[in-house]
Amino acid sequence: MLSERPEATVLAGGTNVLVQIKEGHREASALLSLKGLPELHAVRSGEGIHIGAAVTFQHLAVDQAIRRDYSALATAAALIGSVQTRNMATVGGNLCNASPSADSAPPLLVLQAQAVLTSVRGTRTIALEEFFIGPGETALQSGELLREIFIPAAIARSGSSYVRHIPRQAMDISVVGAAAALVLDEEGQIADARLALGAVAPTPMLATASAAQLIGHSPSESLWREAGRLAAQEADPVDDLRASIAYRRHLVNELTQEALRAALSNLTNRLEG
Amino acid sequence: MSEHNQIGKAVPRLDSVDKVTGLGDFAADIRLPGMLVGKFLASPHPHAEIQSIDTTRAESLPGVHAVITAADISEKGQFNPASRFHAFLARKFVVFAGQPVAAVAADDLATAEEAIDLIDVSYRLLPVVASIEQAIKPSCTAVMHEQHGMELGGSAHSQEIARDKGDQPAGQDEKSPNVVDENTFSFGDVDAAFAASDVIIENTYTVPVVHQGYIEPHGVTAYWDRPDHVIVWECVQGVFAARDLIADTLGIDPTKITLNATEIGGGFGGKGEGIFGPITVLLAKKASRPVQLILTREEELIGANPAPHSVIWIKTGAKADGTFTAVAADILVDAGAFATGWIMTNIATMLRDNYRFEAWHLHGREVLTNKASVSSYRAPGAPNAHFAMESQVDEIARALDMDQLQIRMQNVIREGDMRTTKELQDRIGANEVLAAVADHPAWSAALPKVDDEILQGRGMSLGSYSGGSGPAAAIAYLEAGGKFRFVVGTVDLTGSYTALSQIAAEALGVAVERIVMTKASPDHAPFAPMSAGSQTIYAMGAAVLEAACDIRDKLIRHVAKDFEVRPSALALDDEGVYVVSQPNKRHTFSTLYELGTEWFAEYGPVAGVGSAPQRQRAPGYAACVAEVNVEPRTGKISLTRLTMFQDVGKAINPLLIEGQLQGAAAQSAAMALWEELLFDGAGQVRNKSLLDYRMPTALDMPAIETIIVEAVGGDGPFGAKLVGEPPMTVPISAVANAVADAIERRVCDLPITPERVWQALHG
Amino acid sequence: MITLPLQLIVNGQSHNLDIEPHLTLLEVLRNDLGLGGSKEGCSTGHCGACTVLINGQPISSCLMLAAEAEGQQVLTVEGLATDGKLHPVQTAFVSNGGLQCGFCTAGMMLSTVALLKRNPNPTEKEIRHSLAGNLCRCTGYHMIVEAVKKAAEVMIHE
Repeated sequence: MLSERPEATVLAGGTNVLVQIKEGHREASALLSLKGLPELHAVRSGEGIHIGAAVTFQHLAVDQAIRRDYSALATAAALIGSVQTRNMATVGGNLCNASPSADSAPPLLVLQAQAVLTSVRGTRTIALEEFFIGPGETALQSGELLREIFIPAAIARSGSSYVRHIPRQAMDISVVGAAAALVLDEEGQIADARLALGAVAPTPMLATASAAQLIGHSPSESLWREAGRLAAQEADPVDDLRASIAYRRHLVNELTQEALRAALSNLTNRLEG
Repeated sequence: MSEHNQIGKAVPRLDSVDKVTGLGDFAADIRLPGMLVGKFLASPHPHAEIQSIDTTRAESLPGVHAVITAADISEKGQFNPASRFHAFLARKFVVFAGQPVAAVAADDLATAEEAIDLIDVSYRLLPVVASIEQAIKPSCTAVMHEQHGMELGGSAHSQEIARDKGDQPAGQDEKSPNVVDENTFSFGDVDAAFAASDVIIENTYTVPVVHQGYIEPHGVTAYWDRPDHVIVWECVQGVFAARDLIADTLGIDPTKITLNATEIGGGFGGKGEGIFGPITVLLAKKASRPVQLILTREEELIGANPAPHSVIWIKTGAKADGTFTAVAADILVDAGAFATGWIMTNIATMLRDNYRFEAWHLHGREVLTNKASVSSYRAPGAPNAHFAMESQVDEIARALDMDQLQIRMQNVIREGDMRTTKELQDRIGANEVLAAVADHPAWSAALPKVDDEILQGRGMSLGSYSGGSGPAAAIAYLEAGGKFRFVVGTVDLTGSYTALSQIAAEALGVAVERIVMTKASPDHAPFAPMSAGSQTIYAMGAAVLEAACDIRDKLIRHVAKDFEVRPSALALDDEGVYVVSQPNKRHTFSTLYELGTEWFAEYGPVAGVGSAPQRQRAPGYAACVAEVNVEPRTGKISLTRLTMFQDVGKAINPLLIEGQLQGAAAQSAAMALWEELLFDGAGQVRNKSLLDYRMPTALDMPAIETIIVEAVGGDGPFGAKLVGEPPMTVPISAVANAVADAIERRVCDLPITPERVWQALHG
Repeated sequence: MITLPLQLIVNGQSHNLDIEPHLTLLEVLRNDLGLGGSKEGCSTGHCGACTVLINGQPISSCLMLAAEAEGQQVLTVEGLATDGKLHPVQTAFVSNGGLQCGFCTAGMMLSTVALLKRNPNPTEKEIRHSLAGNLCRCTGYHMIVEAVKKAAEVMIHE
């Protein structure tokens, strides 16, 4: 259908698209609803986890497998908006809207998610970090649809987390979001680490330098502090109506440390049971 | 007295059952055959001259029934260029982004929106006056065009807090054209008093523009059912004020306007007289069809009538023993594009009036900028004034190492003290309120245990508000079935109909179920003041009480004649009028109704009237204790405890009163922590949705404990004092003081955001 | 004018409509089905006044195209009372002062109904968390939370 009306706007939960149409930021002569495609609404396990693009955040927040093995994603899903938002908003919609502050993005980035894109021309899979091109801009080509997100299987000694700062206790767009994923080897040293940040760059971003320097070391507060410091430098925030550059950089520092603590904690919990 | 004591009963709002079942017509629920959708074209520019408006393309769009501009306004309509209300459609100039320039009536919303896009307006841009700092420069562009006499504001609900306009300031030559109201209130020798002070605190406090935040946007439906008569349904707080506004601006005889107040989804001062009435009535006339115009949330946030931004520089002094000496202040209030003529005086005369000072010098200016003009918001101006003064009091106590409550008790104003306007303070319940705080664990108990890195703070504040007091009248008559119908023009904002019913029932000595309280338009009810200014029970309650007593007296006279006894031998209970010494000798109310309405009746139908004049009254006092937790790493604040105290004189309905205290607590705390209409340097609102205009959610608010104090004083019905507004004055500063307690620094700019806390801690 | 045939099941009753496809569920409920109890406060999904339940789950009806609710069970405030008897949530809101102006009340009660279905004995925190998407300006939420607790109490004992 999308090939027939490539100008059509894809409609999943409506929590971004309809708001944008109402606020005059988007004109849509045609909306393509995904409601009638059951495979897009499914979470499927097997060598990892396949999350249909139209899966709602509510679904992700309560799904046992996701809570157990992909804590960062479950945490983010439970934080977005309100009960009403979570019942409607979808992970695909969140990603395709490509807001720099999209809450599902940093968790998926640290979980090494891949985006599966499909069109009449065929299907292709790209790393999620390549999916975001700019604010509101994705790698989707004309007539292409995000079909699902694939996350590789969570290995035993791994943990993830997502933390964010908002001024109220609910409902706000994240001022800064930080996700962390850690893998420890049998000696308890960090074998792999990924850090991702939201709302501090034109797109959700991986803080590669900051994560790289964690590898081969034992977790410690001073290691986290250094990671926070580096992540704050890697971030590229702007001044906007929600926060200043300086404050965002400070939050990156603090939240990176917090995310690392929480990822370690998640890892420990997963090991224990 | 009677055996039915209605006063003091926690009666749920009488309209509750309707509302929980989805009944009750709010503004957008009005449905009329052939009704069209109205929408207005808002100026995108904060300041511009309109060179031309071409509506041809819009008019030719199928489904469009009318397009109007100011050219359609009758010559008979009043036009004062200084009035926001008269500028409901811009004439030559637009003075705030969001100001309506034209409007359409169309078959449906989509067509109306399309038609708006087809209206071509040519603007000549003018310099934008975007801030107070810019506006007060003598060389600044004037916001107001076509200076027209000395009439300011045109606000239909000016609240005359101070009749004394104070001393005129010197140096008029160097004045900016945008300073539209200026006053100085002076007493004693402030310099000497400061010189004799042991501690002096000086700070500048800013409060941003905030929106009243009613969940239901403005909405109007208008229908000309005859060529010379229009029916209007509008969510307004005052039907008489709303009717007057339409009559004045369009040159219509007010008795040809039937103004119905719909159920109102919150007003809080922002829906006083209904600024969108005239535009809708004009559309309906031109379209010859009913028209409904409902604002979007964006239109509300950009172009309604919010509460003012203020900048208050204040200096306060005290002696080592805690006695306040002097206060000096320079008050700047941003009124937006149209003057109010009262808001600055409100702030200036409230600023120091909760405390006794030996000398004061308060200079205030109301300033125009190119923003939507301001109106009332629950105790207008009072939160601004209280934030400044209560923060100062806190700082003085800190500097002197004195207890926050003690210093207030020591300095609180007393009966007979001189106020800013040089009037003497009437009897108030301030001491009783402070005593209630002293007794309460919210103040005395230890703070709960939290994690080590969390900073905890507790703060308190004292506040007051006088409200306005318009005159009110009510009519009442004995009804079929032995009920009593009262007809009032009051809009039920706060459950007042329930409280008024209780007052009527109490006066008559009957159960509240016998009272039929009928809301009516000015077609059927005598004058009612706006439901604002905390005056509804005070003013209309007095009128209802008088009308009830009038009916009661008449019934007694009729029965006395009938039973051939003296009036003093009779009494009323829920079963009728009876002889006290022979309770079985009685007439039921049903019988009395029949006796008054049948052929060959003994007497005429029984009706009564009550009329209460406007009266000055003493302020109502409130206090708040707040607790916060602050995460120092992010500056994030959690509001963990809120306790409200208020002297209400006599609690007519404790359930409704508690609801008022709790609601005000959330609104006031929100001003301290979250809410702010952000403007860019070019006069445009940046946060025009509820995503970034942050009102508190259920998760942001803690449980709110309320302590009702009943101190004697005033002449309200059954001793009732004002309820709705005093509580608005206290959480804003109690929360700010709690944060100051937690982080040991003072943030003087609201809202106290996490970023501001972080800056205070690390700046 | 393009229209779409649509079957909506609202409060247990099936309706066959022909509507313009761009209309939201809120607009169709209010304008085509005459169910004015659901309110519009912001039209962008931030205030919750338009909350209805779809298959028992709260959603913002201002952000859902009516077409997307085809064949789903929609519950509005008008469907809470049965045979003229108020739902315990409605009763609790009335007697506990859980409403003042009433504009947010329909959405608030529907969110409450959904909450108590999935969590019959919620803590205060859980209640506030579930209602975070329903803004109220009049009450400060205190009595709303008390009403929810009361309703929970009553419903557990039923």
